[in-house]
Formats: sequence, C-alpha cells, structure tokens
Amino acid sequence: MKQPGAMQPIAATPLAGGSSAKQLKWLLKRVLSGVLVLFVVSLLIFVATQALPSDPAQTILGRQATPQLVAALREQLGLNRPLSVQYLSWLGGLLHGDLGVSLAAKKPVATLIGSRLLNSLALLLFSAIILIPLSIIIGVAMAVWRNTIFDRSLVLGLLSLMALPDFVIGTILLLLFATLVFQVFPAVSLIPPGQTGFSHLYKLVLPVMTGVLITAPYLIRQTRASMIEALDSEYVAQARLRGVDEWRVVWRQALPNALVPMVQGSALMLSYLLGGVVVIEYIYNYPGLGGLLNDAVRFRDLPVLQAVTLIFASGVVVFNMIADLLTILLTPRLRTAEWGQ
Amino acid sequence: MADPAPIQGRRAAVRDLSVTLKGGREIVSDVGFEIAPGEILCLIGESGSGKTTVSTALLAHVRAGARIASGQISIGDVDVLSQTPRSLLSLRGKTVAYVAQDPTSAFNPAIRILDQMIEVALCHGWDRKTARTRAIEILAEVSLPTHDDFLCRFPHQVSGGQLQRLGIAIAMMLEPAVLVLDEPTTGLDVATQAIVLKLVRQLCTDHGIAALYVTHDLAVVAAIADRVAVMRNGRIVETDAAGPFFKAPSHDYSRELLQAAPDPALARPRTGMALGASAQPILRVAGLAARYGLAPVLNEVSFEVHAGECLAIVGESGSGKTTLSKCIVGQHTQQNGLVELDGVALHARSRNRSLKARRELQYIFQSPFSALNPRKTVGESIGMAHNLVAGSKKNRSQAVVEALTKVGLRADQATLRPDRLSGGERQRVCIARALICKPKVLVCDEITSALDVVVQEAILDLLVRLRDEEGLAMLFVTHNLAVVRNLADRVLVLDKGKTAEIGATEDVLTRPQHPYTQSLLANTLSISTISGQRWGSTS
Repeated sequence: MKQPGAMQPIAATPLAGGSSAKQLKWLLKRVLSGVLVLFVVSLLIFVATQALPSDPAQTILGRQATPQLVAALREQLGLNRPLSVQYLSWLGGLLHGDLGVSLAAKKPVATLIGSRLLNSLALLLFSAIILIPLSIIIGVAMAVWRNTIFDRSLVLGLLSLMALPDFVIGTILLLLFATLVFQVFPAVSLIPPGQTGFSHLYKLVLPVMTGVLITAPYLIRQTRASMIEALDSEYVAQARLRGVDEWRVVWRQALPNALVPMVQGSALMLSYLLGGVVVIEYIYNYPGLGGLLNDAVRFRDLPVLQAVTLIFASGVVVFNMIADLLTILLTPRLRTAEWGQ
Repeated sequence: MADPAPIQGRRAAVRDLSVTLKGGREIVSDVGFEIAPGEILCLIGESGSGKTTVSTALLAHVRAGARIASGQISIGDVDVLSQTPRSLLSLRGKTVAYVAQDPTSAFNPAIRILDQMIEVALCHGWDRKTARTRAIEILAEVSLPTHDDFLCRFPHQVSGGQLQRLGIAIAMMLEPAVLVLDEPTTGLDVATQAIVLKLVRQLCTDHGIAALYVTHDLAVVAAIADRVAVMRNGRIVETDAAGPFFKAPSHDYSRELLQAAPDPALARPRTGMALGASAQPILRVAGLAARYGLAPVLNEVSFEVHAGECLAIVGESGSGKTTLSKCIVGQHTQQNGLVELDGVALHARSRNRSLKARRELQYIFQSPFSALNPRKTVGESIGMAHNLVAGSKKNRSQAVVEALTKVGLRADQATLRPDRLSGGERQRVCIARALICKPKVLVCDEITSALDVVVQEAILDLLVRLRDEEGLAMLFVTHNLAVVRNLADRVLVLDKGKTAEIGATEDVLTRPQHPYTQSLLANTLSISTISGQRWGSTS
C-alpha cells in the first residue's frame, strides 16, 4: 500500500514565554481597577448619606429641634461648605487614615471600628474555613451519587434552607442550641471590651453556624452543578475508558475543572456574608461591624455609617479580586493567555 | 500488507451482540465479527446505525440508558463482558484501548499532556519513572516532539492533528491487543488525516494490534481497511475483505453507499443551462479584505459569480473560508472592499442593507441542528421568512407548501418540530427557508459536512437541480474536494486568506497550479484511485 506523503515529525511551534513581569503587570492592573471601584463606591456613599436633599443635621436632631440648633450642627459638621469641598475633605481624611469622629460616641471612628472589625473578621474567617471545604465535599458527593435518594433529599433540604430568611435560620439555631431544646452554647455572644472573637471561639459557634447555613446551600448547589458538568464531559468518559479508577476520575480529572464556578461562588457568598453579619450580629448580640452599622443607622451617625459601608465595599472588591486571581491560576487556558507559561 | 504476522497480538471476537435501550428497543442486533492481530476492520454505516455502540462494547461500555442484552466479546481468552468492575479497570487501556472522535474534547483541559499520558500507566500499576520513559518512547513513535517544553503543554497549546496523535499515543501506552478508533480523522484536515491513517496502519502492523476502525468516510475505508463490515439499523449486513467489497459489494445497501460517496476523481456530467448566458455577474466581490481585531483573515479576494453558476470556495480550516462567506452576507463587519449584488454595492452590515438585497442573498448554515428554532414547527420557521419577504401573512401556507415540495419534503411535515426530523430533512428545511425568499444567490457554508454520504448525495442533487432549473447562483464553501467535483463550475482555493488559485473545476482539480492546491489534492483520498492502487481496478 502506498500512502501519499512521508511521515515527518511535527515541529512544535514555540510558545510565547511567560515572565514574572507579566504577572506583576496583571496584578497591578487589577489592584488599580479595584482602587477605581472603591473610589466610585466612596462617591456613591457620600452622595447617599450627605449630599442628598434631606438635611443630615435636621435628620440627626429630629423634628423638634430648634432652627438655631440645626444651624449650629450644620456649622459643626461643615455642611455649609460646597458639596465638592465636603467630599474632598472626607476623602482626604480617608486617605490619611482619618475616618472622622463619631457623632454619637464622640470618639474617633477608627477606635470604634478597631476591635469590632477583628470580631467581624473572626466570624467571616471561621465561616469561610467551614463553608468552603464542606460545600466541596457535599457538592461532590451529591454529583457522584446524583439522583439517588441521598442526593434528592439533600437537594430538597438545601432548597428549604435557601427559602428561609436569614434571621429565621439564626433564630431557630438560637432556640435549638441555646435556649429551648439544648443549652450548649451561649444565647448572647458578648465579647468583653479590649478582647476579640478570636479568644472566645466558644461564643462564635452559633454565629458561625448561622453564617454557614445561610451561604452553604447556594455553594453546594453550585458545586454539584459544575461537578456534574465535568463528570459528564468527554474527557472524563475517555479517562474511564482508559481504566482510570473512579477516585482519580472524581478528584483529579473532574474537580480541577469544576473549581472555577466554586471560587466565584465562594467570593459571592463571602461578600454576602459580609452584609449578612448585620443580621447575625443582631441576633446574637455579637459586637461586630454589623452591630456598629445598625447603631450608626439608628443614631444617624454619618461618619461611622460611611466608614463601615466603605469597609464592606472594600471586602467585596478584595474577595472578587482574589477570586479572579484564583480563576486564572486554575484555568490553564486563561493562565497561558494572560501570563504565558 | 500481504501477511501481517501475529507478533504478540490476540484475536478479538464478537458474537451475537445485542444492545437494548431501557424501553426494550434493540439498537444493536446479533452483531458478530472477528479481527485478527495486525488486521484493521472498518465498521461503516450511517449515523444511528449502531457503529459507535458496537465499538465501545468492546470495552464493555454502553452509553447511559442502554445495556448489553446478550452476546459474547472476547479478546484472546479474556471474556470482556464477564469482568468485575475491578478487573474491568485493568482491562481498559491495557488489553483494549479507545481513540475518540474529537481530540479537543477528549483531553482534560486542566492537566498537562505528559501527565495525562502517564496517568494511564499509573492506574495500571506502573511507577512514574517507567511510565515517563514509555511515554517518551511512544511519542517518538508517533512522530511527536519529546522535549520538556512540549511535554509540559496543556491540550489547548497543541494543534488538533497533534492532539489526535497524542490520543493514539495514550491508547498505545500499554501496548493493547485491540485498538478501537471511532472516526479519529473526521475533524482533521486532509493532510493531517493522511498522516494519522498512515500512523494507525503502521502501529497495527508493527505491534500486531487488531483494530476496529469506525467511520462513515468510504475514502478512508479504501485507504486503510483490510476488511469491511457494513452496519445498518443495528445489524451487520455485509462483511467482506476490502478489495472484493469495493469491486463488487454483495449487499444492496453497500452498493448504495458506494454509489452515493462522492469521488474527487469522478465528475458528474452537467445538465441544464449553459454558462455565461448573462453578461453581468449577479455577485461581484472585489478586493475584499477582512480582519479579526488586528489579525488579518482575508486579503484582496476578488471573484464574480453568474446566475446559474456554482463557485466552490476551498481551503483548509483557518484559511478564511467562513469569514469570506460571512463578509458577503454581512455578518462580519471588519471588512474592506466591494461586495456587489446585481450591480448594487452592499453595506458591510446586513442590518444596513435593503430588504431586497437581504432577500436575494440567502445563507445556509453548516449545522442544521442548531440553525432551526427547536420550539417552532417547520411551517412556522419557513413561514416567518415568508412574512418578512411578503410583508404579510397572505398566501403564507401556500408558499410554505410550495417551498417544502421544492426541496422534496411533504406538505404535512410543516406541522413537525425539528427534533422529529433527521439531519438531512432539517437541512432541507433550511434550504426551503432560504428558497421562500426567492433568492438570487445562495451562500452554503459546509452544509453537507454534518451529513452522511447518502443524505449528502440527495442534498447535492437538490442543489444541482436548483442551480440548473432556477438559475440560482451559489457560493459553496467546503473542504471536501469530492463534493466540489460534483457540484461546482469553478473553484476558488483560499490559502491563509489569499486567493491561491481560481479557475474552472476541471482545470483546478486536474492541473493544479499552486503548490497549496497540489498538496490539497495529493492528500485527498479518492476511493477509485486508492482501489486502483491497492487492488488493481476502479470501482
């Protein structure tokens, strides 16, 4: 038999080389865009709290206040200055680390925030540590045993959890573990001043459990869906036909390709949890940023309100930046496109 | 290939294999065949005939919802169907290996290629170092680079042809007794196809491997098969040595397949109106250039098409064929140059063209499966085009029936949704939808490449009739030279976005001037030519 053309080895086309300079440039670009987002957010916060037609001084003092009192407060808050000057002086303060002085507590905002930020971080950190591995394991198990009774009943249970409002979940846990049924954990998670949640892990159990229950259903469902997609792919079918065992198929072949939606989902859930702390901290009386925000809204404490909102916004920006970075690291096609090898 | 000595191989045997779906419907019935070591058995048949089901059954695998109802499959003295789940793992990859149709989806995008090769060996108890040595050895055998830069690449950094060689290399890692290949060259261009076929042949001979090669391309069969088995509706209707099969197929269906297969060496006589009747071209393209972002795709392409004429656009994947047709119908706006329909210059964006221009220039897509709205009936899909053209629903049902009859469908099929139709019928619906607009030019983008040969033949017949009887001008984009020979009056060969050659079909295909056209022709498999070389006769 004759065949046209002799078989010649295919020379591999050289690839564009990657470099750490490329990665640094990418990182710099992302950080800059994050800063830009925060700048826009600061503008929005300012507009929403200080520049809208309603008079903050009047709001703070209430309807019964005399005009002289209102005028004095306007003077004290600098509300008589042009809006651009007000914004720039606020922004200038922020850039110098000066968050202003609380109107209600008459203390610098930074001192008010300090320990509460750590408390909120403790809540968030422990929630994340439990949330992410738990979601991966349960989601993967559901995908592997999909449409079995195990999977179907979990799907139903997760859906019910998602349908419950956050504060209902918190209240049920409170009733279940702190008051009516078992009295294992404290119903009130007060942390003494000068200490943080990190040294009172026991008091964190219920708040963390609530945070996980609020966010896990979503992340588990996402994991299940992306794992199913990966397990149904052609390359998994091929791996099985090559005699690759099921353990390797699940953890080595499928999971790496299912991680990206999970990473993005985790960032979304942590951002959500950042806002969710308001509810959780309120239920358990846990002294975190959420409680502070709550009080700031109640007492019309503008500087605190602005500072806490900006911290929440920074959290969202940072989570998303980390998620994007991980997405690129986890996807060879993106990694090589952005950074070369 | 006179006597492939059984070096180390074992014989594969399938007896009375039946596969049923959950509902009890039989999709494979009483299939039996044997493959000797070193021998290649080609399993051919139209899609849905059960070829793939039979091929994966050799690895004791059937798709979800199906099950092997009865039968026996043995490789040497190993009974494939009575394995435990555990022993099946060691059978797959080691005794029998599988090469998939689409190499780009068969590789895990997240794992480097060397690791994917090594994994097979690791799963069968090898240590990493031996596996790596073996991987490099087999890479050299399939003529792939073995340096670290290549080994550490991810699948997306390797070309389709290289990936298919890698697929074969992975299958060869543990020197299996039996190799199952499911249409491994369907997605490849002709030059790469020739290389892969030669590689498969060589590996089977050198290592005494019994190969089952599934395909619907008879030219490939002619090039590689020792024996041929023809499947239809789940049964094998004929098994024969390749030579006698091509000379004198015994079953009616085999004859039908062979007749329907277009052959670049055999031209179809042209009937109907003579060319050059009208002086003015209906479609004129002058100095057309196009780019994607900064990358140029087309460069100074010019041609004319007259009424009743078919111009074929030929070239490898990536040559700019599809971009050219998109530019003409106004779906690619990054273009410069002139596109003229009936003497009127057309805007680059179809939205900005006159209704008349849009009506007279119709486009038919490659895949009839995604070109029709699955929620609309055939009548609604065609009727919608009618509304746009006629501006009202007047005479709509009558026009739909007329269009359906013209493409050889029944009027009552207008009430069906696309999922009730076969691929060929769907493509006819797409053509009917174009025809109801009373076009002057049809742009057909690889419209038969997703179809079986018998169906392809019928669609080509239809196009020839439309061209000759209705005087339709056609632009037929394809990479299949056999189809070109059957349909086109003139050929334009594209190479990297430039016109490599343009001329009458006969001239270009028999006396190609450009080196690119020459290599394209040399690599295109022709049943009659190969049959002549291998068995000394023409079919």
